[in-house]
Amino acid sequence: MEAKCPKTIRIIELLEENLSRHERKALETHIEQCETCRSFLEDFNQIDQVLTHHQRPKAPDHLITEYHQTMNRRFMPASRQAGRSRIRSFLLYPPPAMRFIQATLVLFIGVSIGWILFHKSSAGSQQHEAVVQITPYKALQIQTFFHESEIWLLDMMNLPQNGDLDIQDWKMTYDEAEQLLRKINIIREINDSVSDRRLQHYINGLEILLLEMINGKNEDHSGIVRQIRQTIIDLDMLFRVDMLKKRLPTAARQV
Amino acid sequence: MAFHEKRWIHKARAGDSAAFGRLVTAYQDAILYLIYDFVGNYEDAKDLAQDVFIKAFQRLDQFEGRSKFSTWLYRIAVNRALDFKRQHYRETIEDFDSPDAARRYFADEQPIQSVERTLEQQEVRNQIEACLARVSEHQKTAVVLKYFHHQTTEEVAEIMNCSTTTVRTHLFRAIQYMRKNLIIEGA
Repeated sequence: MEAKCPKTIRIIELLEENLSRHERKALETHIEQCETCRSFLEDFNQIDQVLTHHQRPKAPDHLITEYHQTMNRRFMPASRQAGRSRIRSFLLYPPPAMRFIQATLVLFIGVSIGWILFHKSSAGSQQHEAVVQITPYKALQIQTFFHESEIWLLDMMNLPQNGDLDIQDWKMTYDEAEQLLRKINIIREINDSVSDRRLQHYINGLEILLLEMINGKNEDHSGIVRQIRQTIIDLDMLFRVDMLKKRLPTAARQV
Repeated sequence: MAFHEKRWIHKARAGDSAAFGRLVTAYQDAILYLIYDFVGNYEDAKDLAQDVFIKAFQRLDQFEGRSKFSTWLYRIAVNRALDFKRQHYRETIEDFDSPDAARRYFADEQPIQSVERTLEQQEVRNQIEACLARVSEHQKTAVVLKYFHHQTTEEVAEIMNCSTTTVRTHLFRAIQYMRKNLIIEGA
């Protein structure tokens, strides 16, 4: 029976060049002295050659052709499907150059959206600031206007300040109409700060009525006067419900 | 792993059948021959190779990319081939009983001397096949992967799901068996 050596198995590692320099030298020295290992190494080299150059029987050509056709039919998609999947895969896994273009495009779109949003929000904040950042002087002017408006509106209507509104006997002279037209400009100027659409509507309407009245001095203007009166009453109501005051910023209300 | 192969795998995972088709084209012959080396006939190898690729496609999500794709695919193929062999074990044993098969598998019954070169090659081939038919399943797997499919010991270990030391032990034992049974011309 052939003698056994525990180091014989390491010959495979030696041939795989998997040993350190020291281990290799030690094993080579051992092989020189060990008959079992030397014999195995000689046989192993021969078997290694035989196995490495082993050639399996060639597959019949028709079988290989049939095999390739079957595999193509089974795993290669139809042209239309292939086209779809190619587009899909191109989008999901583009080639490196296309990936760079896509990344640049995404970056550009992202920056553009960011820029638009930033400017939109800054414009909004600027608009907001226009309302909020009213100077103390402007705030005082507005507050004074609200206070005085009642006085001169009531004065226009020839009514006592603390009296109830009685519009039945109300009359308006041309001078009063011109005086009111001048005051409208003050209201308009203030409204530019407050931007109240309802007030704007009344101001425009009142201005038109007053101009009609002033321009048609010789005509019967009783109808126009009635409309002016009604507009002034509406304006008065507007101030009374304090609509504009509520819209004023806190800073202005505290002045 | 080659870059294009990585791309094909990624695409195939995303459901791109054309990309998987490319992987099939790249490995179909290697898998066919690998399975042949286990089952011993091309007809069965052809069918089993298709099974291997179907299984690979179904399990593509499980491929983690830590090893080579070929290693992963070889593992599926080896397991499928060995399963097939086990299923047909009885039939194989019956085959051994037939005179033709016995002549093919047992080197002892083969004519030792041959004049023609082709006959010599045939002789050596027959002897190798006979030896591999007699060694253990693991020893045969190690030899086939290492010598016929040029896998490194580390790759063989990964395919066989064992350590490199175990692989070397299998190789050592298979070679020991061949030393005793393989008759090499000119040796």
